[in-house]
Amino acid sequence: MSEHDLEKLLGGFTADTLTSEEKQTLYTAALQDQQLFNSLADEQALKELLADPDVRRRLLASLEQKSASGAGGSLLWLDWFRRPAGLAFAGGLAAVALALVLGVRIYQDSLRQAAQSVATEDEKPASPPAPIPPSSRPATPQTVEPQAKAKENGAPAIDLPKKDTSIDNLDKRERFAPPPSKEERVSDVARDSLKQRGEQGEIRRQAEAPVAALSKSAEEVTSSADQKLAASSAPPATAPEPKQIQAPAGGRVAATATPALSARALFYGGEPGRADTSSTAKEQEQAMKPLAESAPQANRPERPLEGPSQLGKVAGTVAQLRPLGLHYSFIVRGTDGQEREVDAAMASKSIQPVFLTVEANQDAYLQVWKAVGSLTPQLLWPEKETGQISLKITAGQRQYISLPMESGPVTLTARLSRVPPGLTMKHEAAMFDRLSPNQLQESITASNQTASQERATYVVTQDPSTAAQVTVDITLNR
Amino acid sequence: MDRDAILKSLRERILAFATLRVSRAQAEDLTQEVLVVLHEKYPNVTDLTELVPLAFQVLRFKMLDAHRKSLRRGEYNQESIDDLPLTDPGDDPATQLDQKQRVERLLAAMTQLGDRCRELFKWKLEGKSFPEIQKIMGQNSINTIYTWDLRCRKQLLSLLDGSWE
Repeated sequence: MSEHDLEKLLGGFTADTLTSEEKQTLYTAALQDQQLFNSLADEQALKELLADPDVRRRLLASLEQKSASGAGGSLLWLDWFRRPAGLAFAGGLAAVALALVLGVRIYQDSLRQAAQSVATEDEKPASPPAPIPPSSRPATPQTVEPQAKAKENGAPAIDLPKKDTSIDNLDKRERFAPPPSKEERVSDVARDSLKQRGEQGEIRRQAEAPVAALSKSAEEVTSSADQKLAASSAPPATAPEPKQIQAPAGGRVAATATPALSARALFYGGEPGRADTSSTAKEQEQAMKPLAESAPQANRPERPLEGPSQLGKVAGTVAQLRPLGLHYSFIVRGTDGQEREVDAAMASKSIQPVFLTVEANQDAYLQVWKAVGSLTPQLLWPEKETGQISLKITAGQRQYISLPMESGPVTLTARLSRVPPGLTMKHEAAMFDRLSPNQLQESITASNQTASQERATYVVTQDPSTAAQVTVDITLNR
Repeated sequence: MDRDAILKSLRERILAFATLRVSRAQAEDLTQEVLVVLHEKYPNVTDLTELVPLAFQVLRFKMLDAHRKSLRRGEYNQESIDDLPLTDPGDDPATQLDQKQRVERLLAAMTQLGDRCRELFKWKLEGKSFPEIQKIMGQNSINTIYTWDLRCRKQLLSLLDGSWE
């Protein structure tokens, strides 16, 4: 044992607890090492003190009391906490907890922002691209249940033409609305609000039935329409006569309450929901905005300006399967600069310039004739400068035709056909097949469309052939 | 190692130790007195493990006695011996007070030690040897107990201002 190790035995020397071997080693070394001897001599004082039984007892009592009081309680915790390792551990725990709290909060914020951005994206398609007053934009429809009901009611009886799913803009859908496939409906569901979908589902049911009935005879269609329009005030039509359907309850009412063979629904074809979407949106707009500020979305002048090529492409693929339809309305500009749709009576009385808007649900050739009194009809559109007697218009693209300001009764004849009109005589052309068979007409007027701002007329022929055409007379008495 | 060899070694160590505390002459007298006591009163003590601690104990008594004689003789304050009281054969009050104060200092220092040191001192005061303490404290090596004890003693000595007295 080295000298250094021998010093360790000094503690046993003072307490007199050394074994005989330790004593032998220690004392032998002390006799050889003066320093160790001095240490032992110095320890002698403590050894004598500890040799006293009373002192030893007091020391033991003191040590046991201290250990007993320190064994339990908060002092151990405090001692543990004072250690650097304890502090580091506690600090690490605090940092982890803080990071967890911040992480959760940031995650929730990101989710909230994502939800807001999704909502914004949903609203954007509903906004018109042109400087239309915000009040005229279609609002999100209200209910989800109609869409769910539409899905629960099963697939349509026949396969309808597919809709171009890339067109998620409501305006585009209004212009041209082929019936969507299932997948497209799903994508629409993802894009549109649930309320929109609900309205669309309602209209889909309304529209699919008439489309399915297109293969039937005109009598069957008329009969079916009459049955479905049990509550309608429209007079029953006979087969060869043009079907004049005065929508009994207007867009929304007809769509939600009265399943009917609607020219409007046929016009929008496989996307029946758009008509009701428009109506519902208009209702909401009407509730929120002044009447003068709201312009019907279906009749917005700016709306047809976007995506004609895309729509035309779609129209080309589905035109043969869809009934040819024409939509017209009157637009006047109010004193506040807002354009709004009016019915024929209002247009006749208006002192402001009146525009006739004409829109087809598929690519077709259009010509508009004007007949003042008993005079020979004259071609109003296309204009003479074009040198054409008809122009091909793109599906969903609305044409604006300025109406003459002269007073007196004016009869406008709009003729829409899938093929260019071959007649060269203007008056003959104007009179040709004016009364087309299998033609349905529905007017959305102030009397039957109490909740919507739409004032328009839909005329649809149920002739599926390429020679089908739509001819409608519009009478004004200015 | 026989008794004479042990006493010879002890004389050298005691003289060297006393020289560090007192003068050389006093150290030689002190050493001689210690050896006289060992020779005359403890002639039968021959074992090293008994003779060396006995020598330490006699040495301490002789040093304390020399210190008291110096006080009595006025070597520090030069007072007249006639003025001093008679010597009490028992512990004088100063010695008793000194021991009492030392015990109190020791108790106060003990309470400031750590748990391990207090536990180690407790086992030692209960008479446990280092091997026994090793088993009690569950250590594999007795050197660990030695090291702990050395550190605890140094800590206790520092708490007592570097002196056991």
